[in-house]
Amino acid sequence: MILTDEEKAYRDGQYGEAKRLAMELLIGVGDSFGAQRLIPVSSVHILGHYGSLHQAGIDFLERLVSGGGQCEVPTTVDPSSIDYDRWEQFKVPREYMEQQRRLQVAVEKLGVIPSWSCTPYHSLNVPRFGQNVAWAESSAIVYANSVIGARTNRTPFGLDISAALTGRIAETGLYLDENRRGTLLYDIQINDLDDLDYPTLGAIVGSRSGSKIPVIKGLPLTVTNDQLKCFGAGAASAGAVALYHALGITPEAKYEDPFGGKEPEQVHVITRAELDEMEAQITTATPDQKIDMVTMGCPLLSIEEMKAIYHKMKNRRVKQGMHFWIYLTQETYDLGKRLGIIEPLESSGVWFSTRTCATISPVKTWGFSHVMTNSAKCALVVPSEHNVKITYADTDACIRTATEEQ
Amino acid sequence: MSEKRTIRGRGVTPGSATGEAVVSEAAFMFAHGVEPKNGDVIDIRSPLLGENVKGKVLIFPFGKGSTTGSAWFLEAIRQGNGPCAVINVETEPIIATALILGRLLYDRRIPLVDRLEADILTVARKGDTITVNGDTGEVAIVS
Repeated sequence: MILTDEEKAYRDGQYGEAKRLAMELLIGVGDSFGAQRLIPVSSVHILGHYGSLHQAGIDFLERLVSGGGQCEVPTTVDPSSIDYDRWEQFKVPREYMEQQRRLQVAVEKLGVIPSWSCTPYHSLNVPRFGQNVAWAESSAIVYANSVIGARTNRTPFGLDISAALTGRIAETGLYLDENRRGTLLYDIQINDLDDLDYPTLGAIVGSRSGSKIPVIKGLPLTVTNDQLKCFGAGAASAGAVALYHALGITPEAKYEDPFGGKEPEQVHVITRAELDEMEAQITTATPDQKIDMVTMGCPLLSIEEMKAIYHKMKNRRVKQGMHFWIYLTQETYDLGKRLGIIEPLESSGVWFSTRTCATISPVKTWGFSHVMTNSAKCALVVPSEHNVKITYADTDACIRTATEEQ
Repeated sequence: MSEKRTIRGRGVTPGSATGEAVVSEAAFMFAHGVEPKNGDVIDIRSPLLGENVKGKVLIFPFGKGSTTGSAWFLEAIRQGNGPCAVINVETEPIIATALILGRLLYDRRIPLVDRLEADILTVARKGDTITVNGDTGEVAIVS
């Protein structure tokens, strides 16, 4: 890899030990996939949950702190493994909390914006079209690449904070024009897509695409950013989709041909029948199994999604013995408080949680055996962490299951 | 048992190690895929489910799964439960990041070799003794 004089200065330790370590990792990984050079990135989004980072993650971040590291570009952080305010309510073991706190301290000392959100593109970290960024968090990566048209690979833990400390990443993969072209066409022949259909469509596209880039035809022009968020999260968790194009909607498929003038390698028509089949397949529980917990907010809820839940919840309260947990960003929670839509739900028995989510927190201490959710990502990821059965259903069904008229 | 032979490839991380081969023909993941406490493969979709990677020469086409995989792998390395060497068809950043950090943080040199001149997934068999040299990029099937 050809390095600039400044990059060599990082490597040789002229900017301190933390940046030397970060640059050594960036160069090593860049060389491993044959990158020609490093490129500047305008923002970074890092991982920060103890449940996956383990002691090794703490070790690396603390090493960077003791080496004097500071972020050079705006950097946000993914949700934590605990709710920092309500960890006792959620029965998080104290030792686990303390480990996450160590991570938190290290992350904040490095100058990371303490967003603890998987939707940094809603606020605090909003790239422009065409900008190179280095993001971790699969659902945010797919949103940045697809909906915004910014550019990022699937940046793994370790490389993420190294990019933040140096403002650099190796130029490979989705940073290059030629690797952003779609090759698979999905033709959606369904007229009345509802909210649950988007994550389900995502799961179909993700599970069929492998490492190829899907192009989606047939999404309505009225599709909301929240719906695209849930579609992308489904696609990224059911497969490894880091970029999709939606014809007429996402920027690289609105102003240019996402196939680059070529014919798609494959065309797949998606009908209502396939959607129903995938929806049923995501559910692993049988209807007779009692549901212990209903959860929403993976990815974390936006204020618009929160408002919709509030209106559906009027005059209802959480059933005795049932847990109804809603995960949202701190910003959504604060906005919801100002709108007066948080307290009524809290007094009707809903547990809100901020800056974390069910998918990455130690929910297993509760011993739930059957969880219901409207999130495809949560449904696909949670069983591997918590050994629970899942029922996947829309928001109305989740609310009907968790609550009753009062 | 495979025939004794030496295969040339590309050394990605330095060091040399000899161990018993475990081979996954499918892409392999560490996030919720390998338990760092003991090196057991826990990914229910992996053909290596129930095997253990500690001290082995771990062979798979490429990494897959969550971007947290590098932390899961690094934690296994930290606890001394990682493989002694890795061979990929084509490596990717999750695997490379974990192995480079293993050396930088814990001084554990786990060689990684990829882009071999023969199809390692069919040449190497479970139980073969293999030496992996990350400095020269050579993989030797010893017995």
